[in-house]
Amino acid sequence: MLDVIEYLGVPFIQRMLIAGILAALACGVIGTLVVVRRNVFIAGGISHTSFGGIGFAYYMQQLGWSWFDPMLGAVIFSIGAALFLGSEPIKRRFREDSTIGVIWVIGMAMGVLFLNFVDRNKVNVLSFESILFGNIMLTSFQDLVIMGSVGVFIILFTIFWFKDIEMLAFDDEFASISGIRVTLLNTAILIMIALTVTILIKVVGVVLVLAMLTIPAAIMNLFTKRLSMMMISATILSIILTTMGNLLSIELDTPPGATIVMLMGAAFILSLFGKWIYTRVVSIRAG
Amino acid sequence: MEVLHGEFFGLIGPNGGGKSTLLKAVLGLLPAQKGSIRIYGKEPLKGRKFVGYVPQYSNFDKDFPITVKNVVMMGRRRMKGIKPWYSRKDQEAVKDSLSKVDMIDHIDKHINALSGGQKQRVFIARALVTEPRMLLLDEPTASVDAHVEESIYKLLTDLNKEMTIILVTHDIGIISSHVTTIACINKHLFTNNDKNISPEMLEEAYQCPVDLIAHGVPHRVLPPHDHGN
Repeated sequence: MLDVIEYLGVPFIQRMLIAGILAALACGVIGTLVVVRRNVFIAGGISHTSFGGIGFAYYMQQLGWSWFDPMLGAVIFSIGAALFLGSEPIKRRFREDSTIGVIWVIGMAMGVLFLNFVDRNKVNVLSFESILFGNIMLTSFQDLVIMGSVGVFIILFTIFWFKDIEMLAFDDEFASISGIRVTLLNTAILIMIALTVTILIKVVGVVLVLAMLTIPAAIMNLFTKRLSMMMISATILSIILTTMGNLLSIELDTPPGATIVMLMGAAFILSLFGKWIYTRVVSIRAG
Repeated sequence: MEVLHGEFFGLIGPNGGGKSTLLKAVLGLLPAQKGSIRIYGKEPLKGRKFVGYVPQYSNFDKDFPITVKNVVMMGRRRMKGIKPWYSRKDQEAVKDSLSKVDMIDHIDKHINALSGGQKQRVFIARALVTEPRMLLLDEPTASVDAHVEESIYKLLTDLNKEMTIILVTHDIGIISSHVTTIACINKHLFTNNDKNISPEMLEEAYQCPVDLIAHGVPHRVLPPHDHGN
């Protein structure tokens, strides 16, 4: 425990913890939407496509565009994937899971190919491992500013349009009849998912993004009866689990991304068990 | 075909006969391919504000975290516009319409804590809160048992004093004793503008002879008579 207090004075560990909290803010809110709208695999497709964008950014750096940040590449590709998956002609003509599968693998393959052409002596490239599984220890101050702004934007947007978002997720037909511009709002939500995915990649990497988006929201879905409560409690839970995961990874000297995900997984199993006990107790009391 | 204000109109037809397509066209969710639809003289996109739509509750995700109150509140979206909150008047309207369907005691419950018949009442309340001139119900008694069905019809008959009711179902037997007019749909529409279904209409609509007796509740299909109960 003393060790931990000592760590807290180290700047890169401070940044790591702050990054975890900022990521958790967005992931509680957007993760809730992903879970109730059944967009989990859309989010998976978006995050894996963004690997292509990260590769592309490094490739552009090699071509001389040194300002082309990997996060920018990730954002471009993930928003592209979101718009593609959300577009009406694609949704109407193809099965959703097939399209997701296709962009998922194309994104990954593009990433591998682009990175293959990058000369690591000229461009400073992160390892595959930290792109895929997270590199929260390498968070810079600039990253924190980006993550914070995206988080604030997402939360404000969600607060302002909350009632419409809730209605669209619950009953899109009724939303449409009631005058909500369904396609526009759906697109906005997909773009927010894409933005969230991009900032989560910093923490847990391309592959493990799904854990942060899904697990805290799925846990709180078991215990809440209001969408707003689910968002708030999932956010709080993500903050707790991410921070605990970060501290644990320092303590145990394990990769932070994977540690956070394992902690979340354990919490999920525990809460399933807790819910089961709770339901049993209530039904026994009710006779 | 015309439905007059104040009617209790039953539209029946087999699955796949175009009932949902017609509903969607009336609500302006699909364009009418042939002919035209007018609601109180207006195109569907404009006239649908007069329509309180009650979908099948079984279409909804039962794990969705939402309370009865918030479901009904959705009906006020059109009055609220784009501002992010609902007014006191909206809150009152929600309570009023939940009282009308006898569900006010359940206002803060999770929607899935309710029985099928109760959920149906909540969705009727959501339609009522839009202050409609007519209710449009899609299979309102699908998957509820007989006495619940009867109580929902009783509620609809009461509501019919204030507004037009149109309900759509594939179940031939149950509706005839409550409705004032009936029509059959299977790609085409058949009606004789009264509350009786003729065997010819059914045969046309269902494309094969329908045995009214085999349905189990023949007395409700055939011309007027006293209910023993």
